[in-house]
Parts: sequence; C-alpha cells; structure tokens
Amino acid sequence: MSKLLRTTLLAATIAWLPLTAERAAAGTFDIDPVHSGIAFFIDHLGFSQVIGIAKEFSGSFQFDATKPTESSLDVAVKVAGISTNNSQRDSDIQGADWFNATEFPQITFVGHEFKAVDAKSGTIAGDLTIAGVTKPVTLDVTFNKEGQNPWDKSHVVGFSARASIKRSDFGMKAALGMIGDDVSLVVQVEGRARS
Amino acid sequence: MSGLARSPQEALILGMAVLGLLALVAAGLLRWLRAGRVWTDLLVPASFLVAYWLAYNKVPSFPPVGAVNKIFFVAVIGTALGVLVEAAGRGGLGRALVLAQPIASAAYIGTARLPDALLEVAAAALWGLLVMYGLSRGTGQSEDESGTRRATLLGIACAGFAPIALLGASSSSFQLSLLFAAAIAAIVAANISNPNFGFRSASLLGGAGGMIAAAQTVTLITRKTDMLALAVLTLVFVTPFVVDPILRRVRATNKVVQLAAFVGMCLLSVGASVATVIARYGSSFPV
Repeated sequence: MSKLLRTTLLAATIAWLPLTAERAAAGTFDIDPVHSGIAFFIDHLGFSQVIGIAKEFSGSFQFDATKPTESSLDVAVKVAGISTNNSQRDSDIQGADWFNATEFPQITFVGHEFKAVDAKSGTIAGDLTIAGVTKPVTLDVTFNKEGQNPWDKSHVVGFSARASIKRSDFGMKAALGMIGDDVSLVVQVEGRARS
Repeated sequence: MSGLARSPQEALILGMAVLGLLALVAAGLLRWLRAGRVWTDLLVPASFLVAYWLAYNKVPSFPPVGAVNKIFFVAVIGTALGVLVEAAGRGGLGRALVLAQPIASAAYIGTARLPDALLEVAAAALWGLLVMYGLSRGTGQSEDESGTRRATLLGIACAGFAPIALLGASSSSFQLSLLFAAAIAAIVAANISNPNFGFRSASLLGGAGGMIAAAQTVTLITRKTDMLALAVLTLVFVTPFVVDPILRRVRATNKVVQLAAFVGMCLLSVGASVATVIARYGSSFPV
C-alpha cells in the first residue's frame, strides 16, 4: 500500500471518529418541526374521524440507541396552533369547554419510562397535560432510523408513535355521545442532534 | 340524557323537561309541606347545580382546574353562604355578600387574565354587580311576589343568554342556560302566590351567582361574547325599575296585569338581544 493511500485512509478514519463517538453517546436532539407532525383523530357521530393537527410545537429528547431506557422526552404543543381544517371549529375548541387556551395555552408531554420491546420498537410512559389536567399516557414508539441528513450533514434520528387517550379524562366532556371520547394520537418525530 | 335522545336537540329538550319536572315536584312538595323560606330559597341554587351536572356531564373535583369547573364551586359556596346568612338572620351581611360576590367571581374566574386584562376583568365584575343589583333591588312588592318576580327575571335572563353563549362558542353554557331557565320556570309556576317562597341570599349567591360566573367564563376565558347583545340583554335587569312606576301611574292593581306587564317588558329586552345576535351574525349563527 502506497504511503499516499495509507495517509488518505488514516485521514478518512479520523474524520469519521467524531460522528461515531456522537452516535455512541447519549445525544440531545431538538424536534425538527419541519419534518415532524402531531395529528389526532376523533369520531364524529360515527360517520367519520375528524382529523386535527398541531401546527406549533417544540421539544427535545435525549436518545442513545444502545441505551434507550435512559432516554428523556419533553414536548410542548401550542393550543392556539391546533387546527381541524375549519376556522369556526378551530376557534370554538380554544374555548373554556374544550382546550381552554386562555388558561392553559400549552399541552405538554414529559416522558418518564422508556422501554425497548425489540430493536425497532418500544414504549414511552409519561405525563400528558391537557387543559391543566395531567394523566399518565403510554406512547407506542417505532424507531425509524438514525443517521446523517445528506443535505446538511446533521445527525438525525426519527421515530413514529401512537397513543390513545380519552378526552373525558382531561375534563373535556362537552358533546359526549356526538363527538367521540376516544382520541387517537399519531406522532412523527425527526430530531436533530445539538451540535 | 344524550343516550335516550336521537339528536342533540332532543337531548336538550329532554333534559329541560326532566329538570323542569324535578323542580316542579320539589317545589310542589315544599309548598305542600309549607316549608319556610330558608328551604324554598334552596330550590333555585339546587336547580342550578343539577343543570350544571347535566350540561357539563360532571361534578368537578376540588380544587377546580379551569374556569368551567370553578363555576360549580362558585355556586356551591354561594349557596352555603346564603343558607348561613339566612339561618343567622344577617340580612345586612347577605346584601353585602350579594354585591361582593360578582366581583370575587370575576377575579376568581378571570385569574389567568388579571395580569394582562385587568380592565376586562373589572368590566366583568361591574357587569355582575349590576345584574345582582337589578335582581336584588327594585321589585317593590310583597315578599312572595318579589320572590317569584326575581326568579322570573333570572329565568328570562338565562334563556336570553343562551344564544349569546352559543355564539360565544360554549355549547355547554348554552345548555346550562336553557336547563336552568326551564327549572326556574317550573319553580315559579309552583310558587305563584306562595307566601313561603323565598328568593333570598341562597338563590342570589348560589343560583344567580353561578349563572353570572358562567357568563363571566364565556366572556373572560372563551372570549367570544357578543358584547352588544350582552349589553342589550342586561337591560332586562332594569325592568323592575321601569315597570313598577308605570304601573303605579296607570293604577294597574290587577296582579295578572302586573305580572304580564313585567314579563312582557323582560321579554322585550331578551327579544332585542336575540335580534341583535341574529342581525349581526345572520346565517353564520351556529344553529
């Protein structure tokens, strides 16, 4: 092997070292709102599932693929940014009967217990707070991918998550019987490692 | 009730009918037993609490989280204070509490808004004060007539507030208003010419106070109240001050005529308020 080739290989190895070290250590990731989404589904008179989305949210998590149980997660959703694709309804659900945005402008989720089921899935048990009421909720999480974003070379990890809650548990009992009590949550998260 | 009905409208009408019937039976029973005013004074606040339970599908836990849950405790505490004041025979203290309660209620319901909207909270307190003043003064009648007239005034005002609540994005307050109005109508019907009927401190602090807290919630927390319609509706509380001098001037002594004139004037304000809502929002009115 020529001296030039050995030097090149050594340089390439050194260049990869920081990234390898970053992946091995627990990293802190900020949720990328551009490539993440939170949606909810709620029954309307049995005819359809109305879809709502959270337009404004933020948060961060700590994650190490080798030690997933040591993860952490904090998410905050701005209630004013919840949309159900109808301005009248969106305005109504901000009111005191529903999300009560005036008194409780944020919905939060704080993960406490992280369990790996297998290499690609696990659960996050945490506290979900809506309209001032905090209840334990478990997210079923699928680990999608961890790696480098080819566009900006940032280190990214992605998950999908699902959960089911009852709105009545959070004191939202308006129009029960017409609008479903069970709410399905679907979450897609892409986190960028803090540099 | 929603389980027995085929539509939201049916559920509401069924709820009004059931609550009205319950109130009628309770009021009739108290009248038959010749219960005193301390007991009959409990009919209105008890009806409010049942109406709250039917409208919001819950009895909130204590301490309450959020304005909607606070409404229940404003009514409960108001009722308890009213009973204590009446039992102790402290009429002066009762009158002071009646005027102080809407101010305390506005501050309690609007706690989250105090730092950045003090003027709005103060306006809600002043509005509640005017309503209480109108309800507690100016009837100028004998005790039993005064009681039924005050209850009538409150019931009509509740019915008039319903469309404002609906437009204010609170279907629960809409239901609460109509359920409470139905119960009051039944109570009034059962207590016409009942010398033992009392619309005193418990009714004012628990019943009217609870309804004022509900209106303050729609105004301060949901923040979608049509202020013009609410202002027009508030004129209903001026009715006693207007009707009685007119009746005296025309020397109308017939009780039926007096009551009809009173109810007619009240309905005038309510009608004007509803017309205001429809004129301003027309087809977008969420019916």
